[in-house]
Amino acid sequence: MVDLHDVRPFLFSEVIPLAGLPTRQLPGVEPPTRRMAALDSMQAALLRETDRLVLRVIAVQWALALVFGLMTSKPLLGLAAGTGLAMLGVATITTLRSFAGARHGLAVAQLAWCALIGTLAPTLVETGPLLALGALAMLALYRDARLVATATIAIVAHQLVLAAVVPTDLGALANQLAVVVVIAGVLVVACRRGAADQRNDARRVAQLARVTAIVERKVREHTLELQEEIEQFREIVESTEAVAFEYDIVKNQLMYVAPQAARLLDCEPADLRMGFLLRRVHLDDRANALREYEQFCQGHRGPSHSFDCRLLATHDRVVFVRMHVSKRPGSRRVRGFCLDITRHKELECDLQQSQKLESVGRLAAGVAHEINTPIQFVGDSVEFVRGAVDDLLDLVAQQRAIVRGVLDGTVSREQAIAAEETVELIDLPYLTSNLPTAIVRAVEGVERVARIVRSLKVFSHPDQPEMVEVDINQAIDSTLTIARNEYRYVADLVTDLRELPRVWCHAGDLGQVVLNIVINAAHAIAAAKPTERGTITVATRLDGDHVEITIADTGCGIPEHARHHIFDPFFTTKAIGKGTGQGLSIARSVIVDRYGGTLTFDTVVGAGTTFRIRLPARPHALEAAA
Amino acid sequence: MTDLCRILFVDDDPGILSGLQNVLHRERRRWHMTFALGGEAALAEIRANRFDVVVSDMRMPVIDGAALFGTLRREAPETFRIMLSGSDCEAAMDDIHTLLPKPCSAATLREAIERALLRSI
Repeated sequence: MVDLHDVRPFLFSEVIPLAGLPTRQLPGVEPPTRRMAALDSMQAALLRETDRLVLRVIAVQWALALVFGLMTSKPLLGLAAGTGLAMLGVATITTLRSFAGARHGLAVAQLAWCALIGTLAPTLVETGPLLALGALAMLALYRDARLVATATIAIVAHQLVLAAVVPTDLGALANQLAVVVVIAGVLVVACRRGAADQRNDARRVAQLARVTAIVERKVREHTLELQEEIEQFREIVESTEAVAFEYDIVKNQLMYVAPQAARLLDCEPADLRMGFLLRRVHLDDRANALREYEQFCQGHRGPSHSFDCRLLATHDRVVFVRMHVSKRPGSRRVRGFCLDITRHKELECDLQQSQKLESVGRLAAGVAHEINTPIQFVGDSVEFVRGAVDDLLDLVAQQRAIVRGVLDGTVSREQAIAAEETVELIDLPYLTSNLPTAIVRAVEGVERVARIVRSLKVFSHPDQPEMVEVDINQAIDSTLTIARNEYRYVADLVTDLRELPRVWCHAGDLGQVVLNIVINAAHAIAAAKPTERGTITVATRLDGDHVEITIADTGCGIPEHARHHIFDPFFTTKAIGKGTGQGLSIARSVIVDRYGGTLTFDTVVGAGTTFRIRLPARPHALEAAA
Repeated sequence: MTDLCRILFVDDDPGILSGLQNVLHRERRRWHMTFALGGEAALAEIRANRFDVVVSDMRMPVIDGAALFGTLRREAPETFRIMLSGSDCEAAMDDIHTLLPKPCSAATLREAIERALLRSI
């Protein structure tokens, strides 16, 4: 966590640059005294250890001396041992209380023991100086030159006192003393060096402690920063609409789910586990969602993938979500987020509805015109028939009067002339030749209106949720009838509708798609040759297990730069107000997304465009399933 | 015959023309009626003969009512122009004397033609 470059200068240099560092200190430790504290603690440890050793040795020695004194029953030895024990007691107590001067007492006590043994046990006289030197060496463990000095003085003093009391060879004495002094000198040097080492160690320890403190502080600071960052990220993640999650493929366990999921599904955050979430996937979407997810986890869907499904919140509220998942190659964690697209779906639905309304609205004008024409001549014909019937009834009345007159014998020539005048007035030959055709025309006109009204039914079930078996050719025929007004002034229509199986779909959706394409075709023809009529050819055929609908025009074609965009929503090459750019986008969404078909086109600029709709014809599969 | 008012009816639907012919047959003693199927035939007619009134549909292939009336206005401005149409005629309003919405009863049409004839005399 902490870069070593930060630490190295403190390890290898005497001067620790404190400037620039935050001056937050470890509680209770002041930097200037840190080294002293370290030294003190090291010395104290050394003293404690050495005290324990020395005290044990001295205690054993004095115990031996006491046993020895009792065995030889020398009263002086017993007295010396008693005195020695008392001194030892005092020395022990003071040492254990860490009284600084006490160890000098210890040193003297130890040497007193050596002297005692040397003096009072003549057989051990020769070993006396050696014992003294051993004691000196032991005391050197304290690494205190002063203690060695005290012990040396004690040895020298004892030898001198001994030499004064007992006649001694002065040469041997000098020899002995010289050895003691030299050894003492060596021990003093060793002690000083040891003390210096100890000071150095203390300094190192102090430095190390300081560096450790800095490192710890830095680690703490970085940890805090990281925690803050994590907290910030968490806040960001948990304040968005997207519900982030992480899933471990190996453990088969959700490692994280953002708490918004609870809001999304109206549940408790504790409920957000894999099994619970799976049960909340809409029953109709569950198999598909699982398949998509598993295929993604197995790497069949690339490094990232998204799919839509429905979730069930409480009270049967349905939430549309789009799942985005991604996984790094080799990683066992799938990360992703889930977006509530319910509103989006609603808008999409509204948009489709409004596009449908727009199409239908535009159609309404055309349909009105289409209906107006037959209504006009039906009305005229009926009016003509009414007038003609009146005229004929007049004529019939006149002729009936003549007939009666003939039978009565009262008929006058004037009556016959009047009848003949009426025949001429009402133009009987015209009526005779035109009445039957007028009636036929009226009947035809009514039939034309009826056909248009029947065709409108294709578009009249926008909310029908279930797909039904649709006769594609009939749907196309109806659509073309309604759209007639859109193309009849610019193009001739050629249809080649072959026999097809029924296809499961919504006739209205399909009609809308065909309508959008036919309207585009009419516009393309109008744009290409304003004075010449073009041709729109609509054909259907069965191609393997697909139904193919082609709509070809002899219009202007689609320019190169527009070809990649024609299915984009809101893309249009038409003048403002002429097209919303939704027709082909929705056509594609209907054909591809809803029915699993394809919508493609071939175009040659200046020669025309052919749109090709292919729909899977699945009656056999469905029959087999049923 | 020359005393008769000359009226031209134009539509791209033969049914409309036959209907008009039938329903206005009673006026044959007062009006000399000609029926042209489509804009091109109408243009030929107006260039060949003088008409007091032209009644035309708006939406027709190739030469529509607006184009026909535009030409008529330039070439025979004294002719009264009646548009008999079910569609939007905003673009041709300047060239139209009377606009009759389709469907229109024979009585209304007759009355409109009568008024036109009074004005054009």
